[in-house]
Amino acid sequence: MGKIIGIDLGTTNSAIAVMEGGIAKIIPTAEGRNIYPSIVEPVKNLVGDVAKRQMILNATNTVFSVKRLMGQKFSGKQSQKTKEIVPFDIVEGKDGMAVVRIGDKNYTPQEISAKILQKAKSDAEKYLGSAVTDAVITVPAYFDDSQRQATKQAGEIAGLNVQRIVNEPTAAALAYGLDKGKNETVVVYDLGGGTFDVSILELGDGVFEVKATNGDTFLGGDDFDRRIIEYIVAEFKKETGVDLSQDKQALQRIKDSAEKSKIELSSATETEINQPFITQKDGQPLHLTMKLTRTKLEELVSDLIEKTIEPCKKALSDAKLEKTQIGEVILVGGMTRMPKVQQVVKDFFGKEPNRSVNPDEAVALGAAIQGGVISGDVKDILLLDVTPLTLGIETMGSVMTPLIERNTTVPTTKSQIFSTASDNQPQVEIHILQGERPMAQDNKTLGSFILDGIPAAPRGIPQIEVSFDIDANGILNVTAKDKATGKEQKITIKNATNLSDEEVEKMKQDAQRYEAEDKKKKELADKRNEADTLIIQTRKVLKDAGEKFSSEAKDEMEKALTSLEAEVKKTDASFESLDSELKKATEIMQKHAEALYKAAQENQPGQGSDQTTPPGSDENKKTAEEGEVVS
Amino acid sequence: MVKKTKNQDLLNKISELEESYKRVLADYHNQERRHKESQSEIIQMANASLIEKMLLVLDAIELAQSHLKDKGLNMVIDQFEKTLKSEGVEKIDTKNKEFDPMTMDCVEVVPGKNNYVVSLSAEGYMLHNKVLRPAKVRVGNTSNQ
Repeated sequence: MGKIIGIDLGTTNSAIAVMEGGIAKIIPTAEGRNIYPSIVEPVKNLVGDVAKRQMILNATNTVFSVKRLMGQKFSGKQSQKTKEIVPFDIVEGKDGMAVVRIGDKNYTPQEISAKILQKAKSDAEKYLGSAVTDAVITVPAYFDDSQRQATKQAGEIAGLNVQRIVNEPTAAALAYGLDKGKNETVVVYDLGGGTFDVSILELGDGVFEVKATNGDTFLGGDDFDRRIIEYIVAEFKKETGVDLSQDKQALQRIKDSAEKSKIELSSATETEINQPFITQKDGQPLHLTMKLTRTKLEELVSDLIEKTIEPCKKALSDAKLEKTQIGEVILVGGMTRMPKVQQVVKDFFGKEPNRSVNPDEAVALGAAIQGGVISGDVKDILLLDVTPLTLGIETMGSVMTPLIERNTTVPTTKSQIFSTASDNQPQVEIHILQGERPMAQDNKTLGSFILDGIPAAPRGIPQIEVSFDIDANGILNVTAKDKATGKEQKITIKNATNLSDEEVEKMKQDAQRYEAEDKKKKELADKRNEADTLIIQTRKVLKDAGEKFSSEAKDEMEKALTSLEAEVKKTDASFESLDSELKKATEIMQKHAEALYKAAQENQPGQGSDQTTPPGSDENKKTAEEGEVVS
Repeated sequence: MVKKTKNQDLLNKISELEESYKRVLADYHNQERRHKESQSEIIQMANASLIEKMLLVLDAIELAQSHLKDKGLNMVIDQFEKTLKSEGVEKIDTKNKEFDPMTMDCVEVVPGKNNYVVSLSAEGYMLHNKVLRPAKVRVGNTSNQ
């Protein structure tokens, strides 16, 4: 079986998701958005944003909120109420069912919904690069059998095998990962663009039971927007005496501003509405500028938010539950991003609502998870572990050099080339560390071994490849191999990823607590390494090409080196003193190196010295910084 | 007999594992492919959100210009538009065009030629052949006359 996609077929917006690598993901639409308007123009076959854009021009042919008509009799209350608020025609069709009439053709709500689902199918196919034939579609928990049947038919018309119809609150709970937890009672508070639903679910052993559901099918984000628009228009009139409610273009701009400021006020406490040249009065342009505070917005919509509480009370009493028996409250729908909504929910249930999943996407993600369970994707996927802490080895100056960073998914392999710290070093010690601290001694030692038999060579020349390999069971194999001889040594460390949560937490916290201090230590170690490198390399040059320097130059250089060396050897040397000694020494080396170059050029025009790199030159500095050397 | 069923169980298990392995591998390959695709797209579209915000400023300047009719301001607008063009932003041509919901957003229906753009309410723009912002237009309708 191919992939089963999850579709949140919403009243206002729809969304698509699929399981990939064991994780539910939202499929972006062809327009690059995560959700798309549930709007259809069936004659020209336009769906989503494109249909929305021609809505004003083509109002009687553009269908929205068709979900309200699914499986409804024409004579029913719901159909009649919908008929009042939409510009397109709703008539009685076969068996007394409500259908949409466009031109001289009747469209069943199933056919219209099928167009929305067809877009989901084709956008998913484009994203996945393969045919999609199966889907899980969500419906509100209160949908009766005929409404569910109609939704299923819509899927079939769209060319999808509807593997399951899932309740929206159940899907949301799945997306929040609540199926894995304990047995508990969960409230799903869903405030979307056009409808409000509250459901009480009982979870037990992976089974979800809807205990009660309630809501208001004509309450949502659109009502909130309208309140803001009305307020802006009224304020502007108060200020200028001009009524913008009759000016369609101005209204459009105000609508855009209202939506934008509503979103901004979810994170900011104040926002500015700026629409220059909104209209004219006596030939003079008028500008709309006003501040809207979060407090004002909350005041404007407080009764709308309060309206959601009564259904919550009813649902609780229908389920015969007390607020204290609720284990978790989860939020769904874009409007739940509003801090005031969260506050009201918290105050009512006496519990901080869980908002860890994007409220616009939760239902579609849950549908995809359900699809994954059906296709066996979810059950079969190995739960891959991650390394809880960084793994690395100790390098010159007691520095911890990471090889596998924290949170890397295992199994994985990483390798890096290291070298020796001194000339003719016959062996290296591989000291394996785990932790987040930059200095070796502050981390946990997992093991160590020695690779010997390295042929005599100057420091930095031997190439020792160190590889870390963690298998799916968390077993770490560390291998060190001398590339010249092919000689290798290894160690196996069991349970490298298997730390208790407390251990991991403690190590992470330590890393945070000592961050500033550690940074200083690391900088000092780096400086020491830099000084060491300069001393060793300069000595080497003096030994190999000493005759090219004057004896005064040699003396001066030797003096600088000795003084730098003394500083390096001091255990309590400060970063500043090391740095200033190093700078002094570097300057002296550079001065003499330059003189040497000059002399060489004068003696042999056109031929540069390529035998030895003068100490303290830029090139040397670079290697000193980058050279990672096994201690 | 017992051995046989055990073997069969193992064979089943192997094919089951093989199947799930292939699935994960396929997921990975698809992810890689998409990553590559989206990466080049991201590079192209990285400026989109910034440009979109700048367009709002341009709208305001253009509105100001329609009132002020200042020569200097005209130069500023010209400069602004040239800069956008150099970043791959193209204006959507709406003049005397038939209404196209792919690139246009109808904000009002006014008297005029049926289904044709009568006037522009806000410019629309494409970025690298993708609609960055549909043009907001007033569309004609003869029955409105």
